[in-house]
Amino acid sequence: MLDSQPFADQAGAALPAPAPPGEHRETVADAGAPTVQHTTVDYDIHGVVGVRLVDPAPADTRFVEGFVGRLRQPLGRQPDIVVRFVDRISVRGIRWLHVGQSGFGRRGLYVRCEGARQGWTCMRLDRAGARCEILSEIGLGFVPHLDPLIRLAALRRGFIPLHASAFVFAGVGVIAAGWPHSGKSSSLLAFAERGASYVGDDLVLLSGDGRRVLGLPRPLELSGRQVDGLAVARERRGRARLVLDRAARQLERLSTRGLLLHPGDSPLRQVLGRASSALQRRLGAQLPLEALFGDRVALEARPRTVFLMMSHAADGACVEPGELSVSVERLAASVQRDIRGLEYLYLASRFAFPWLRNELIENAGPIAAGLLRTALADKEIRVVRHSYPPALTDLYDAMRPYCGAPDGPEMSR
Amino acid sequence: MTPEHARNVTVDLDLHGVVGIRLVDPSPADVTVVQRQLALVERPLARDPDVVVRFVDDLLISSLRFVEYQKSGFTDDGFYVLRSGKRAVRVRIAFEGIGDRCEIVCQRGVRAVPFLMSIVIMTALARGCVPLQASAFAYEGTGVLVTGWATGGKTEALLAFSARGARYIGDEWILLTGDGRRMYGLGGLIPLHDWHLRQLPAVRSRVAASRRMLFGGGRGIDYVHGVLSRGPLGRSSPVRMLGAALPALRRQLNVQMDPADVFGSGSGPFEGVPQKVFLMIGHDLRSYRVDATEPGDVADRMVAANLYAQQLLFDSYIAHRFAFPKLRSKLLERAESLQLGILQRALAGKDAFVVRHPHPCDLGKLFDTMAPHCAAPRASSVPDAVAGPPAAVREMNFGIELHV
Repeated sequence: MLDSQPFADQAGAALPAPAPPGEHRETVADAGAPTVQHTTVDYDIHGVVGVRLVDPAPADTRFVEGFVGRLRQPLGRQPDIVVRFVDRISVRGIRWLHVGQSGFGRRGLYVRCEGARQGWTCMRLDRAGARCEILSEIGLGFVPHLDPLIRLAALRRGFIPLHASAFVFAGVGVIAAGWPHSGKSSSLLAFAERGASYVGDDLVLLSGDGRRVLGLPRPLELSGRQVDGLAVARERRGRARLVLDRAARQLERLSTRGLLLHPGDSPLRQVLGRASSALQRRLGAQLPLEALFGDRVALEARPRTVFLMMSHAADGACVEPGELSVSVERLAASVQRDIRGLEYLYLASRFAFPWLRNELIENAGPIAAGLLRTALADKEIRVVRHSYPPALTDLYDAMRPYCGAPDGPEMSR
Repeated sequence: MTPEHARNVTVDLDLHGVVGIRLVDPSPADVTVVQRQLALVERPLARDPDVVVRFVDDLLISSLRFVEYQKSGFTDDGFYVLRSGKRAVRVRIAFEGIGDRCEIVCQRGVRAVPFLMSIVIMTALARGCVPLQASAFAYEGTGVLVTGWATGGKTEALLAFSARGARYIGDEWILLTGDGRRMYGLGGLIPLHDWHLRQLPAVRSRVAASRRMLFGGGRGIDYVHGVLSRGPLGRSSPVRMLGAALPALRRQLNVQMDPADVFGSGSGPFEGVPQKVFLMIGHDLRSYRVDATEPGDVADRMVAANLYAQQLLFDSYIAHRFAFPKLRSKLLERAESLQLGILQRALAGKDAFVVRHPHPCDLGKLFDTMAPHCAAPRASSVPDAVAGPPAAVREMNFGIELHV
């Protein structure tokens, strides 16, 4: 009655590669397989989320390290996310979702990924956030959905995974949260140049009691524009690149300003806009934290002020008070947005395995809102609106009065 | 654009009496755009419309705040969608009104009204009908509903039966009434790929010669890439880039055909009685097989597939929640449980099957697999009790033993 063809995965059959320095070996019992020695690499995100790689290739550790930063350290506990690398994952007999790209089978969902090379990964989502295991072909240099899985695991531990930058300025912990391109990182850079300490960028974890904000020690991802606005970053870049950079900015101006007096969707403008954003991506650069912050890398702070960042179609920057209940809902929507990619996969999982449910994925928004209500209760909440792309000095001038600078206005508690 | 064409003009569209759509002040081009999107002809509404699309020459937006830069934003007046596909647009959508009375304001001359189909089918959900990612046809008097994941083989089943005298009901979205007695087709054109046409010579002859040449070109590129990748340059970056671009190219290589051209004289009216339900799953094996399953199991799976197909609407709704946290849409937030409830009721008591097939598949073999199960509907299809958790199906799960 049933298909005779098995799904022949090779998990655990591969011999472990020799361990490079800094990695440790330990014996991990494989369910159903004979005990084999595995190389494991652990990452501990401030005791909140633990990630374990089993038998990774250098390309794989590079990818994860590029994501979580230099947090390699043996976990004294069960990891929340385990990525197990094997030589090959066979998808013979797979049931397709998107032909050639994804499907389902004996071990769960199979997704084809591309990093350094193309290959298959396999996972189940019913335990995503708790103890989630991903099986991956070795050396892809890419772990699918690592970002939302870390966010989900943090949420389960009572931490709100915010799309935000965090820093300490004049002794005050500051969180600047918002959607992509809302000026979070720009505000971090604006304050960095004036002596702020780094806590985190892009992904920061806010504890449910609101007392701790935690960040990842990974290099800053700067857009071409941001490089241009930062002396430190400019110095690290050759003259030729700078000229290209300027050209890119001119292109952007042409495509966004009314110079051409064309309606918003004229074909010429669209072409310019696409060319400009492609060039901007190309010109982006990674900047090591030390280059900008020196030894001012804190990774943890007690937050007092929370800025909700958004851009507007007007000049300059302005700051308005933010209402608690509105801000809670906005940040909760933002948390949900960040795990959307995983939600899509979860819908595929529900199609394939309707009985495997994940309460955490289904309720991420309300859970985050519940935590945020407490965490933000005693915070100064401000909405920052600014033109896009934001001028760093504008952002600094607008936000600084609320960041505990001595000459700022008196803040009501 | 002439100024006199579009003042105080309304054009009404009626989706099988379930959803009424009114276009206010559209240009003739706008009417064509919407009719193509929804595949509906003008029909005056004797009731209030559920969706109103208002067309203006210039949609002025003052003090816009972005949610996602140049994709979506809001003002005190409402929420704006600023990009549709790769195109910059300006469209104001009242998400909180979906299901009640949703107003969309857009500039004349848009190439497509963003989210229109999604909004219409969510409105249908509020009216007690459930939209399904499916195709449907009537074969020898039996209404057949074919569902599945996005590329699961729904269109293939439709094509297989089209060549053997079936009557077209719909492709892409099918609207199922809550009592399970009617199904309506939604959306117009059938996307056909090269490998479909090669199996359908009668349809192929109706495809314009220029498109046929394009298909030929696509096969040529495939062939060249095949030769190059086996040669000494196979690992070089241009050849690899070509290889990476091929799947996207192949997806582009399709032709949108009018159902009348595919089914000949056998098309319309676009409705029928659903009697047999098939869930299509492509697999990486050569075999074709069909297994009986519980309709409740099909309902469970298809709710997930429906939500997946609607993901862009829900993405925008999350942006809308960021913009207006207090303007919630009860309908969108309850969409999943609503769909599941209606779908389980609508499908209860019907004969349901899972079809597994290779991809690409042989349309003749697909027909041979499915046809024996399309005949002789049950004497009465009065719904029994809603099917409980299909334990037998779980264990089987189409031959997959999941280690828990």
